[in-house]
Amino acid sequence: MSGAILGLALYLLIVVLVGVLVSRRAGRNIGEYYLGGRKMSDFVVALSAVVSGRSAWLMMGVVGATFVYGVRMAWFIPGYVIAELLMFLFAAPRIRRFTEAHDDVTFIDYFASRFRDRSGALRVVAAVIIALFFTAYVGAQLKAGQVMFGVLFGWTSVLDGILLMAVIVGFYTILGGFRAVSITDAIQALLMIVGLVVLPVVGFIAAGGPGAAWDRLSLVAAEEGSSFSLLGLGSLVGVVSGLSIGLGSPGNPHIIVRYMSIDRPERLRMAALVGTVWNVLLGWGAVYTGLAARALYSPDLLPDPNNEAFVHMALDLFPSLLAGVMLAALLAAIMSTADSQILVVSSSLTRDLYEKTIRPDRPLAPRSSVLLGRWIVAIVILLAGFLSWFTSLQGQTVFKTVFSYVLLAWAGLGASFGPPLLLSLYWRRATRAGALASFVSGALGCILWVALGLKAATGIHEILPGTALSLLLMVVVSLVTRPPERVAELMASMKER
Amino acid sequence: MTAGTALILVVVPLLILVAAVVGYVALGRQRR
Repeated sequence: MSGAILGLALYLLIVVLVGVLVSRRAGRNIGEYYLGGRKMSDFVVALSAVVSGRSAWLMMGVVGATFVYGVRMAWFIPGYVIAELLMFLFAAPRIRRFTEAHDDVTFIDYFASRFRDRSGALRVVAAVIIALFFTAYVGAQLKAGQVMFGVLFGWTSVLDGILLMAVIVGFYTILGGFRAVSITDAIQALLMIVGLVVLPVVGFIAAGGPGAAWDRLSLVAAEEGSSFSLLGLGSLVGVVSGLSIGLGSPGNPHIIVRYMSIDRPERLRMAALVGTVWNVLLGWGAVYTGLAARALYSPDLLPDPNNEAFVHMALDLFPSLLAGVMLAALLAAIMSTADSQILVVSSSLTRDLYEKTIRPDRPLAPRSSVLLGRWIVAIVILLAGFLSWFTSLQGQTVFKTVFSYVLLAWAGLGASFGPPLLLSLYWRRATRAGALASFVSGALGCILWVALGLKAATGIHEILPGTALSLLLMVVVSLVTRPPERVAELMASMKER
Repeated sequence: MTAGTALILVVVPLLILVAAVVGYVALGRQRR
């Protein structure tokens, strides 16, 4: 056990060091703090975009869900992998060129420039949606970290684990900003690959080899029967809902800002290739890990099988130092997502809400602006930690927090921003009012679908109705409002020169 | 392993990898 803690501590030391090393540069101005000065390489952007999107949802949620429900959980993977490949190849270069031409630093800056938002309405509504969903999203990540520390250290206090996670992520994000977050994301991407490729291989070997493991899984499946058995493919609604997770990729701001940070738009082609290889290995790696865990353990042997399958496999199958590396991979998944999201909330509140909307004619000095951003990072982490602790007190299980809340936030952001982002890139007739209607209806559509019990009644994931409503309103409201002026020059700045 | 399980566990991930390579090559040619 002490070796595992040593492995974990080494990893954390490296991450914190990166934060300290880049902190001076990050403090110069907000372009540096929130976008790394648009100097990121194709590898860093590819890995950072992919692992920011794949959080504890993948390593705890998908692994745990596959452990319990089996093969049909794999339908969650291909939708987002394909969506992100298409985004890298087609949408990302347009976003990158446009945002540099208009000196846009944040995700919301893009919409404000594209729709010439002088009133600030787009900025305010988008900032509220981002702050709302991301605080819950980060809260779920902190909670996942707390579970891991709980198993590792035997901590019974929920607050200790959440606080430790918050301090670690807060430290390097506050200091190093986007550059630290992206570089650590790339390190974390390597660790996650090691975790999700090595763990299932070792797991299948420990279960007596792939053949014996498969026989064991088939045996369990035969006992369960029906298409909902361990090896069944599930219902059509389940398949469609799983694939529809991909609708979230074009609208999640912490992924999109990574496209804006690459040094040259042409390099996004390589980022597409690297990012997709990573996405495939991580996604299917998680599914195979869940299956290997099920071949090894019976669900009644693990106290909380949904969330702990990964942690137990790591501790049981590896010598302690290597087990620490495996656990570092889980921590990497959590941290690489939380840090990117916290930075997006900070940029939305600092630049979009305060600087651009509340005091547009009295700009802050570059360094003061970064200082404000750093304070807001600290406040957001505290809020997320509080939310995480509060939901634990309410007795909500981690599985619910990590799997359901993350998907709701992912869906809400995807539905709010995906349709307006994609249409704004290709459709000249899209208007500011259309985008505003789309933002609001996407968020509300997802929340109401869950709150009114329609998700439970139909089995359809909230992302489908949310995105459909958002797309419909984007088109209808755009068509009934006045066509935008001088749109050709805006669209021209997206094209290759 | 049934055809359905093989599809989602093996064929789909391989097809996506092929699509990524095709996309990379095709966009490179377009640029030249």
